[in-house]
Amino acid sequence: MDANTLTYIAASSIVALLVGFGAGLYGPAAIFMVILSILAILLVFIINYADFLLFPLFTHLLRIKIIPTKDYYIPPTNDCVIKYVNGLYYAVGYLTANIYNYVFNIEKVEEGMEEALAEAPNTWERIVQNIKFPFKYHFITYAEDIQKYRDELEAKRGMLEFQLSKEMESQNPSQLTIEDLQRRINIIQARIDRLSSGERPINAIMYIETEAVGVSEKDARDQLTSQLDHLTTLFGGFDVSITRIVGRELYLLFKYGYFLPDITTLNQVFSIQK
Amino acid sequence: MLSGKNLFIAIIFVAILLALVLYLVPLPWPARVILAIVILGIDLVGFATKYYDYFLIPMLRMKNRTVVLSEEPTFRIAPDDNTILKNVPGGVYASAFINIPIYKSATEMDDGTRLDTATTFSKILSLSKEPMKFSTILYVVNKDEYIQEIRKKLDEAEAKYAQLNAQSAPGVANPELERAKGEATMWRNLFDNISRVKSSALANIIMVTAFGGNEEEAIAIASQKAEEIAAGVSALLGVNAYIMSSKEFLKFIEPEELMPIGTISEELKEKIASVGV
Repeated sequence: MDANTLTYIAASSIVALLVGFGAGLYGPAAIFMVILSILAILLVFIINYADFLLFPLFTHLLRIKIIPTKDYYIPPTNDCVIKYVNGLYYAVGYLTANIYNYVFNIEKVEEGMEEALAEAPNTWERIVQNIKFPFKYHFITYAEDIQKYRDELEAKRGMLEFQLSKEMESQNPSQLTIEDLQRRINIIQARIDRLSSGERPINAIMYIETEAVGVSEKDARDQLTSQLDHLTTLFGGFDVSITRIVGRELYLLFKYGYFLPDITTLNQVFSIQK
Repeated sequence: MLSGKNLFIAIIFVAILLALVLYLVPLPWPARVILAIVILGIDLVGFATKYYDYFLIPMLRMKNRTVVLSEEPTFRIAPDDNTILKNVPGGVYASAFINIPIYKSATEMDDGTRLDTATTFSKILSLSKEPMKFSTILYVVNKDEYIQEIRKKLDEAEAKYAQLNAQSAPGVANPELERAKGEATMWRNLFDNISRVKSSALANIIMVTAFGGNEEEAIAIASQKAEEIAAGVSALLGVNAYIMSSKEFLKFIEPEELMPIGTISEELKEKIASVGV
């Protein structure tokens, strides 16, 4: 959890606790208000970690349609963006598709991994050959400052080495803790070695976009769902976790189809993998 | 207009003020309960601004269950025809698009080359310290003009056949009429085939965005960034990556350009026939 999120959660929880601590002020409703305060704190955490469930539920229940820009709208289900033009409905939908772990973020090239990497372009071509509708695979990336990243890694390694030496010098050293610390040091060392070999650390957001056309909104949306299901099955071959994007991130990805935000905003709105 | 963290601070400040009222002002307990519920509601709205500040203020102006975030067009094309623009408070965003023409196929590569390709791809993604978007796009090839041309030829051939058919006497063999009929059949077959089969193509593009105080500044920064990245990609892949003009990039960002109406019309006709619309 980053400092910004911590600030938001702390401030909101303090307000809820202020209400809860005043239980004596509510007469016979004291217990009810304490429960309500606890529920408010829980809701804060739910909004923080599962807003992608709450927001579409909220717009769906209240039947709220969102107009992000001229000619486009997001239906109450909050699972696609629709453009109505020339008497046709064009539905745009998104899937998460992070292949970072698969190709780029391996801690150590293990035996067999090189073969998997060499096979990746082939797998990609086989997938594309089996897609009969328009789709886009996007990578929003930016490179990190190597020196800063290296310093961060070295600081982490130093801290872990200190913990390891402390554990080894203790009267009852735990073998499990020692092994865990050594494993973490090795991971960081592998990353430092990769930097030394000329690789640059990058942050990335990866997602798939597809578009379907229909003579009615329902037709376009049904076609879109079928296309997204098809893509989910096909990209299973890449061994990636795929989820349909709904709610807030749907709107943001639609916006970023035209203009990319700065690094700070990207870091705030998405969890980016190094 | 308040937004982001400032909006959150303002809302939490109001909630704390109301909490002070709750503690310090003597009120009957039912009024306190109502006030406490209001405070919790404000508190939750405050927290929701972390993610939904773009939505909460427009929601207050909601009409007919429709929340309008913006009535402006998604973008406008810059005078240089190479960038798209969007005005925002305090400046302008400009985005430029680079095309990377790659004609190699993995099936033609050995294992070593494939591994090199994966590594080169990783290097392309780390070309810029500023956010950039690399996209691989499978799009429908626009055959609208070609289809229109075939349609025109078909109409001409059918008109000619109809005219000759009307002029010729029944039961008398007319070689010119037979030729016209053959020609019309040929164009009809070609038209049916070209409309029925959807051709797709794959493109690799990079999008970069720049923010400027005014239009000229944003365009200049975006173009410079795009040129730098295009040069880097060209050097890494040994291809001629170039900045696209609006005619080319619109098909990658506008849904109706990605699926041109004329090219997909037969597919739609079949769909309409099947659902009986």
